[in-house]
Amino acid sequence: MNKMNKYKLSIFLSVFTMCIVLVIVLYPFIWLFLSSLKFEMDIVKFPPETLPERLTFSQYIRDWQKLPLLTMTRNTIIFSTMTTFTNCLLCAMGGYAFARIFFKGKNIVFAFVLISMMVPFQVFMIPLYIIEYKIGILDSFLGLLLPRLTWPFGIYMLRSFFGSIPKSIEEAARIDGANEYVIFWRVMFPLCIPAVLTIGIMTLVNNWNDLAYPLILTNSIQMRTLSVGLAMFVGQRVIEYGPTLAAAVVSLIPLMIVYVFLQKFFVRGVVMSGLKG
Amino acid sequence: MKRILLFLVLITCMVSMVFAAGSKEDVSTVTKGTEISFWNGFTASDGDILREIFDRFNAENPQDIKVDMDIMPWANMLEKLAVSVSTKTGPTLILLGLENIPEYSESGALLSLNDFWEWSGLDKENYSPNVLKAFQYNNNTYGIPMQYNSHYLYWNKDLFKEAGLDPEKPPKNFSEFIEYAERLSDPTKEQYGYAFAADSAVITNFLWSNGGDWLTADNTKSAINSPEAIQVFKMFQDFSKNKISPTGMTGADLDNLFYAGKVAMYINGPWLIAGCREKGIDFGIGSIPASDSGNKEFIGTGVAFMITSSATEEQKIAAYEVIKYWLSKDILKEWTLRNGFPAWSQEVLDDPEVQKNLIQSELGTITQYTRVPFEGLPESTQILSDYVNPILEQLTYLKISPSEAAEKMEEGINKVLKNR
Amino acid sequence: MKYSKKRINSIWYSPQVAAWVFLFPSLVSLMVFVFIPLLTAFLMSFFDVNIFLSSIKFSGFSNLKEIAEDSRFWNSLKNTFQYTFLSVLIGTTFSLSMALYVSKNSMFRKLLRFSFYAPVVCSMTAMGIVWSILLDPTIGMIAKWTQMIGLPKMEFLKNPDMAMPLVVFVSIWKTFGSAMIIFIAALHAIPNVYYEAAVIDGAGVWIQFRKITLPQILPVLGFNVITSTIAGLMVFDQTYVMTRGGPLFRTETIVQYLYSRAFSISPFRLGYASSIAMILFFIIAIISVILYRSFLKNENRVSGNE
Repeated sequence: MNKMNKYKLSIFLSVFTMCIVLVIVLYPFIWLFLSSLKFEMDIVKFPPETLPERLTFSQYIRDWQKLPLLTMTRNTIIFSTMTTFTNCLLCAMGGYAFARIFFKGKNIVFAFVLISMMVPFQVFMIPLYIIEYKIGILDSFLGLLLPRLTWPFGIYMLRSFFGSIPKSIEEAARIDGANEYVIFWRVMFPLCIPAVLTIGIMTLVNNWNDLAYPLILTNSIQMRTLSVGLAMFVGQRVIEYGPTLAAAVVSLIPLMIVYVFLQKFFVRGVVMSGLKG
Repeated sequence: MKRILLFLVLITCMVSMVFAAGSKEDVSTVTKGTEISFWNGFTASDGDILREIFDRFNAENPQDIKVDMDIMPWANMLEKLAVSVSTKTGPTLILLGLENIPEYSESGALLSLNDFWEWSGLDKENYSPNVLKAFQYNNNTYGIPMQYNSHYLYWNKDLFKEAGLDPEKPPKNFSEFIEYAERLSDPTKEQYGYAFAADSAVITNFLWSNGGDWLTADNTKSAINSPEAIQVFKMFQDFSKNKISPTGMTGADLDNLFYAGKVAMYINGPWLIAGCREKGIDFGIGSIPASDSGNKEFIGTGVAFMITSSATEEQKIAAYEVIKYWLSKDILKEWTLRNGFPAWSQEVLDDPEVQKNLIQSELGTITQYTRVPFEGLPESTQILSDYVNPILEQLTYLKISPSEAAEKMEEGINKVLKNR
Repeated sequence: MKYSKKRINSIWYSPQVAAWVFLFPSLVSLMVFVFIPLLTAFLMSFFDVNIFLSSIKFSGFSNLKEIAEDSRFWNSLKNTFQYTFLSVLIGTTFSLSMALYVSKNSMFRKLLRFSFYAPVVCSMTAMGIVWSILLDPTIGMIAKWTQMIGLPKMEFLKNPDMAMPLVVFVSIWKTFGSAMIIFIAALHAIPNVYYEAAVIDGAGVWIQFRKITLPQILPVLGFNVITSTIAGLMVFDQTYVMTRGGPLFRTETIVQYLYSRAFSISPFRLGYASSIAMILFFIIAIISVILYRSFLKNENRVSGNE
């Protein structure tokens, strides 16, 4: 009986702990969403309350009036989804090449890829601006896309995943006479779809939310993304919290929707993946 | 014969003068339809008013000038400005705090605006000489004022009443100020008598009124290690020590506290006015307390129009048109009444609507006591960021004494100035 | 004709060439838009240059010498190490623990799995603002709750000693989801038979973890540790949004410091900032190599690949 009680106790404790973690994780979102529906003076009042005393959509209306929301959403979608596609493809190809093919200069090239991951954006953004200016792609979609075609982190991660696929699968394909490209496309890539999807959603999220990068490389409000919209209510001395929070919610919802869909797909993929080997 | 000759010479002179004047006109009027880019950092609600004004300008101006305004946070604008100017992709017109004029002009990023007043034909006497002087650098004009403001004392009238003080009578001098602040503080209710952020700007007001200053008059050495300065430092440190003011807050944090009714007295620029109205605070606004001897001298700061070196001659003239439009009575009056920034143009100050506006008439009288700190010194931001503000922070966190603070600041300031 | 076509084909289909074909677009993009700007930035560290690019004077190593005596630089280095150590240690442990719990399939755990990734999806700027308001000493919800349960009034982000741990907390809150997902993928790859055999042999949960789970996920553990270390050493957004490097410079990180030298404080010394960046880069590179070696040795032993 004692063992049974111990077991029940441990289940209870673990569920309890998880619920606390869940609350900590989710509360800021709940607060964000509820506060976006409050009047400005209710957001920063004393004593603070989570629930709004009275509801208002005025913050969202203010966003709509002040920002070209549709244009910004369009730009954000174009920028993030295109980089997501190219990233998934190029990172998979790059990861595969590093993991499965031995070629001359491999270690140097891989070191080169890693190095590009080790310097923060603030350091090279000015030279980047100058290079884009010299090439002539400032303030354009191409200018936003080309530097972000690939992601060293993604290449690194997919290299690990491709590396863990047993050689036997690859050898079987080779014996069947398939060339490198077919092996990659028909055999290896499908096996790593969950990992590729992970990279995909990470790229989507990072580029969707990025502020500094699109801001410095574009010159007109027509090219700006949603993340800029967020910063538009944060003045140097005055912060309009209401519209900022509403803008944060607006920027968050499309990502959440995408995440919900990809999530189901992703989990199923992980469970069924041939990585179990 | 002589007469005819004389007559011909006269005619020739007159004709050539007309032609000369005419050609001067041609160069300095703008081509129709010129487009200029305009960057500034007016995010938040004053940006909305700015946009409205410029949308009207774009629609109505007779020369068909199109102003393409790009508003982004100041930090991002500064990131982009320098490199865009150096690659000639910079904007024509910008707004920037006047404290940036010395270093931006030194770096060659700005065009000289010395010919603006003559070109515009505006009456320079109409504008406050204090203010115009503040935007000069080395006797040259690189910035034309867009707005100018000082700091003002705000007080929460409800909290005054609760503490038994007359809500219409703010403290007039340092002693009253300290006394009121103590009476208005209540740690049990988390109420602060006077709240301040560890920023040199607010303290400058008290420093000057008390007779001290950051630098010597010729800007060559520090003058901060003086008994007057140490007195002011002690006053502020005591505020932190006695919990009359919270520690470590930023300006934005304190604005929130004031809006939440937790701060009885607060010193800030005019941007608080709109927020107070919105949040329903019964507030009073007036002059910062003078020193006990009655001396008052306050900080002046502002935002200037500047034209970058990326602008062509055409665009420069178009920008001049924009600036001239801004300096007109109607626009300045609109900015004053809608945005709350004090008027510095006499015709606006004389306007009956402005005079009727209690707040604006009050603010307008303070401008004459203002000057700009570190005037004309390119190293000012370095001195403030590296030495003054961090040491003030240590002071409020009770890590050093007021005299130590003054000594360290003196050391730091002289170090920077030595490298000039 | 056919002969040369065959030659071309055999070249095209050779592994060597295929590898380069796979890598080509990535390498070009990285070379032009990352590597060359990086090189330029590093070259700038030997010059005295400001962001206006208006006066460019060669200064050799004088920037480095000045950095050695710059107390604020050393302070930012210490802060960055503190941040990285805390966030990697606590973050990795936490995300691994969560992954272990959440990787089994049940409704509750699926809900958890879904929710835990949510913070990753939002922007750091937005959530930084949210947390700043929540942590406000007077009008924040957290202040209200701590006082409700009887704790004394705390200054949270305004307290020099509390600020960094709080920033680390928010950072972990934001990022543990992605490390967790990667751990889950790795955990699912461990064949169940190992555990079944262990249970039959009478091994307890802790032994199972040490002898089966840990070795199997070692490469992924290494990956998470390395990438979060690099991210930690390069941290900027978290501190910039929440504390601006204060109070009393206790949360100023290296990148934050070099950013302020280049963009916020006159005379906007881009050359000096680039020198700091160069030093940071070497630190990151060295630490990464050390970490890589210690995880890589084991990686070879386990999978027999690579």
